[in-house]
Amino acid sequence: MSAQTDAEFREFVAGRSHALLRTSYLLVGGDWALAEDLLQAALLKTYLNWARIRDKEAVEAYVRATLATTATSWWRRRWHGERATAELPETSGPDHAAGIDDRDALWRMVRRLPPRQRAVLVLRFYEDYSEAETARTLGLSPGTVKSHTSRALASLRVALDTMGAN
Amino acid sequence: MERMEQELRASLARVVESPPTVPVLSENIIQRGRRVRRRRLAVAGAAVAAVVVAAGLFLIPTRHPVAEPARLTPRGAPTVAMTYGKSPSSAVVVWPGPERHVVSMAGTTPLATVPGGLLRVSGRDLELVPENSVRRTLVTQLNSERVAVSADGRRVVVVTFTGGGRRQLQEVDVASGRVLRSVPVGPPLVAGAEPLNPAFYSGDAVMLDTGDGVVRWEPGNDQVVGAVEGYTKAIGGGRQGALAMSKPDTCDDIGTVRTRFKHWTLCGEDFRGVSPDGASVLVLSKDLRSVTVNETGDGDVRRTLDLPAAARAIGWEDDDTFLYTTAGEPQNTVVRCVVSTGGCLTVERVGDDLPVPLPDYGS
Repeated sequence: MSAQTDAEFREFVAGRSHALLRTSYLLVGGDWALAEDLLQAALLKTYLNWARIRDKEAVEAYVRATLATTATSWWRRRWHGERATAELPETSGPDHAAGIDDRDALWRMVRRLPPRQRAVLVLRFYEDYSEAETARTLGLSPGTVKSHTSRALASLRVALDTMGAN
Repeated sequence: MERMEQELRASLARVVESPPTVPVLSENIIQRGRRVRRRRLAVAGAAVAAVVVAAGLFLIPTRHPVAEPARLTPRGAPTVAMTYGKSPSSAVVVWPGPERHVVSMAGTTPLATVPGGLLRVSGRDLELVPENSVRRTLVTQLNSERVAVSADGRRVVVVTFTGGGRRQLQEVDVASGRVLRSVPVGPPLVAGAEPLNPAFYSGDAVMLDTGDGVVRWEPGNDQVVGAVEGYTKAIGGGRQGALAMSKPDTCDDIGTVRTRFKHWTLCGEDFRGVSPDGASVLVLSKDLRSVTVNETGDGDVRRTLDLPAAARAIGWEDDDTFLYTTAGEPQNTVVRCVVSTGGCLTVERVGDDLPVPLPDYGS
């Protein structure tokens, strides 16, 4: 790596790491320490591939794609924390955080989604990616993105309805 | 559903309203990146062995009997040079040796490793990149897409422009860059043959592909390039290539292939080269999911392996092992197969690179 490359990389990290850390936090399901680890891993991949990313305007998209794919692969291969389940667990008794508003309750539900569904929601509704952009970023077909989105939203709705009924 | 989406947007934005201060990441990452690069240059084995251990080993399931257990498959990094990249021109070459090192290919095309270094094409130049030294231009004004490399890796045959639209077939000594012999080539000698690509050495003769036929340059003959009747193409692969004859009436592509030793008939398969010792031929099925290794002497099948994933690139590593690469999810892999045992092991997982083993001459 040349000094110029290092300088470009430093400039990029200084300018964009805050925004990228937010995305990372959402992708890992709400853990700032893990989000930092994920961001570091994604930035390391980016640094190693810096020379190959010819369009420097595309660097941020590359990092976001790496964040999303790395987050899901971490989960599959070496995740040590919370286990994702396809079905949301039934609520048992009053929520200890019943005081918080529905928006935070919604985030708690998002955290429990399978990582790929969560990644789809983060890209679609936080990053405002289109279905096509989300598909490209995650290496999925647009149809798969659509079905992940639909299932995730349906799960959230069911969970919120259940919570409301309780 | 619309309301749900709006609430979700608001919720996601809200939970990241107050992120912690991000530590200075860039210096850490640059240091780690440099360590990663150094590790790729380090003595073969250490880093890769860790990856292999971490990644785990797997035996390729096969419908065919496996003579020996896969644990007999040697571990460790590839012992031939491998390109790592999404295309040859964007790749780096990780080059094993006393110390592994990396050669950036930036706009150049790697051809093979030879005793003096790495052969590559840069524009119209043929270059030799020695280990830990400055690259040397061996030939300028290249006019062939391919070059033939002698079995010992010490000679190459190229076609060059000599001005005025004239071309010359040259044999060049790799160590010195000296032209050992040359012959003008043009319409009088190779009628209508615009592409003229040196393919491989057959003994001291050199086979050249003209696009619709094969010609031969005999040693000591500085005047005539003779046609090889009956063959329509010269195909490369390792230290020995082969001649092929299309038979569209019976096969989709290659009909007969002749190595130095034997004629082959291949239908719907790709010839992927002869082992360094000339004893075995590697043949890949059209669907890229099955490999057959035949003996060149009598044509017997030494081994047939079903691959769990399609082979994107395949090449001999030594007389008994070959490497192939797969495009996987989430990472591409390099797999080593041992012909004598039938065992295959993942050697490296390499992210989104798609490595290609380079032919190795003269080792």
